[in-house]
Amino acid sequence: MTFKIENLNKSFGDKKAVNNISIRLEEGQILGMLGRNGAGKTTTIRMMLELIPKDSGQILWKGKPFSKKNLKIGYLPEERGLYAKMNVLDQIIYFGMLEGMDKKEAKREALKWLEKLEISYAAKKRTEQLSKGNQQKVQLITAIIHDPEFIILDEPFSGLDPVNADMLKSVVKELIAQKKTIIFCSHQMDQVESFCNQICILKDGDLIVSDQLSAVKKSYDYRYLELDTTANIKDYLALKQYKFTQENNRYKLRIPRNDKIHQTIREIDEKFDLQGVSLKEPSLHEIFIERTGGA
Amino acid sequence: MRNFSIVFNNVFKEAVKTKAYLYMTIGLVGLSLLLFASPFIMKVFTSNSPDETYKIVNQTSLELSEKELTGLAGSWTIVENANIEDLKEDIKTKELTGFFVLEDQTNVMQLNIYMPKVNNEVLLTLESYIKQKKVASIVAKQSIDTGVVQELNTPLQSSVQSLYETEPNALFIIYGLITIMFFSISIYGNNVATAIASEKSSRVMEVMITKVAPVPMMYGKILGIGLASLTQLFIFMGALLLWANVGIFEVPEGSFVQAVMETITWGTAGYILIFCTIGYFIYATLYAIVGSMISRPDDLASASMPIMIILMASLVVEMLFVVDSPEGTMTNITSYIPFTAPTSVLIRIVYNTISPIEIAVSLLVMISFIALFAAVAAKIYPKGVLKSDSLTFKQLIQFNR
Repeated sequence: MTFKIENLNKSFGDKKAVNNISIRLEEGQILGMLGRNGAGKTTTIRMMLELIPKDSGQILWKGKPFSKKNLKIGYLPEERGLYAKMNVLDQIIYFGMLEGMDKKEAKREALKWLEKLEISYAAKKRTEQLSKGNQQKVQLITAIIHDPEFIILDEPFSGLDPVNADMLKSVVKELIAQKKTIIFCSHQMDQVESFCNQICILKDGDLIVSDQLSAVKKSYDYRYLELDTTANIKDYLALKQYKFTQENNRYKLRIPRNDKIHQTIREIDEKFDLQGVSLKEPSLHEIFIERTGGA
Repeated sequence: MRNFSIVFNNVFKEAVKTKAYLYMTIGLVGLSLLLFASPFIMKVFTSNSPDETYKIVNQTSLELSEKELTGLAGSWTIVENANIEDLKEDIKTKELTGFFVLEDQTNVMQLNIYMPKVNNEVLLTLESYIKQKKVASIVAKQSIDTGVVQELNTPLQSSVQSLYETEPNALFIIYGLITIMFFSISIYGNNVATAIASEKSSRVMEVMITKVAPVPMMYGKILGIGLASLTQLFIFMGALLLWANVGIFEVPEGSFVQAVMETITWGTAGYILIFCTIGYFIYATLYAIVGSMISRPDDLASASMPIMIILMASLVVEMLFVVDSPEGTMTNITSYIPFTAPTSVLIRIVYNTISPIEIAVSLLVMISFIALFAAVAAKIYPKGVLKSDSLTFKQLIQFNR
């Protein structure tokens, strides 16, 4: 494994913020780090970034300590922060230079990203003059301008309108395509599902889930069968003691994973006219709520 | 080291680009100009305007000349008789600036003055002129040798001598230096704390701290803002030097400006820069700690109160004990207390009451304290900047254990 967190611990006084967690991630993979507020995500990230010392455990990258000395790291914090009075271009160049770029290179990359995210016109404007969405674009540029190998994105799309969200999503997809190793923190489960191939869930400092997303889903002893029909099949499903929900003409049945699914579909189809059938794994949202006890 | 210099350059560049900095620099250049132009300005405001018209009702036998008086101040008319009420009316209608009635009384000559606001310069000039005329009249009547009269009238030469080997007007310069020191420390120290607190409140600190280690970041800020402050001081002193050398301003003998020019030698200017810088560093380190302890700039005023109290207390000590007694015990003691030493030593340098060894020892004490404060700041700052709320005093103690 390229990236390893092993037996990581951190306490603040009597409170155990991170309790002996271990996470593994291959290079070029994207890990969704989930947890309710105060679960220990930020503390873990801060220990990774060496902002706070760990009590015990180790964080490794290709066998060496995970550190700015050994790899280039990009970080987009949840709490956005830019210098309000500084102009946009100077700001991006400044952050690029602090990541080891020379001024010319930083300027070239800054202009390239500004154009890509369609905010070239704002290069000479003070940051405070930009809309929140555009400031977020600038923030993302400052996190990735130095072409990091490892990127930590904490709620990258929060507060964005759909157009800007799509634009930033395309940047994240591009980073994934470039085989960057990414830790993606978000409370928007649909985004985690669409981007991440691996997830971990933290609860009160404990790591309660850590695996490939598909494996996590398959570890559940049930899945969902969605049936589209104009017929009223409620009574039949109740009679057969299926757990189900109905939304318009769609019935969502929770069925045991070992259920003979083809037989179930055939039986219903024989009695009613089914227009569509699909099989769904439990959603990440559902898994999260079930594991953490609420969103 | 590379990131320190990037932060330092950026902080300096951003500091000098602000409008507040620009206005303050222009203000300082203006102040230097005002300082040199002050003798001229004072002359303009204190000299009598040629529009000022005076009348003397001379009811004595003295021979007064309108021409001689006009040469001294304003424009004068001499009459033998006039209606006082009419003249008062002329003052009200601004036809006259004032009038005087000179009359003989028993054994004395009486001058009655009618002026809405007594102009002492005009009065002294007139009194001196009348006295001169009276003496001349007596001399003529008594046939006294004019040489004897001249000798009797020779004025007494007086000159204020300093107790120390320095310019007698040095006191004004001392007050000027204390003011510069006080304002530069409080303004630029506050700037350091504000910059840090703003980074915390805007959350940019969360990003910065992943790119630059806290201690180089803190020193980048202190030095960047310090250099901006020194640049301003250089510009101010450069402007003073420029006005002193271009010769467009008349510098009267014994004036304050002349005192400044004679006292502020290149050596003294060097000391001023050194001690202003050291004074700034002592307080700026403390301001950096305060900036990292608070969560938003609004809290700065209350959080920096202890520093302001120390600064004010040192100012009071300087004003009460050091300025008037540059060789006193209190002055000696305060020369080795880091908060008062920069000003005390500067005062003693201007008064020439300090030896090079004492200067060196004082510098050593101050530099040691800067190192101590920096070590404390280096422990508190990294913890403080990561806390989104304010640090408590208890946490502050814990960080230093």
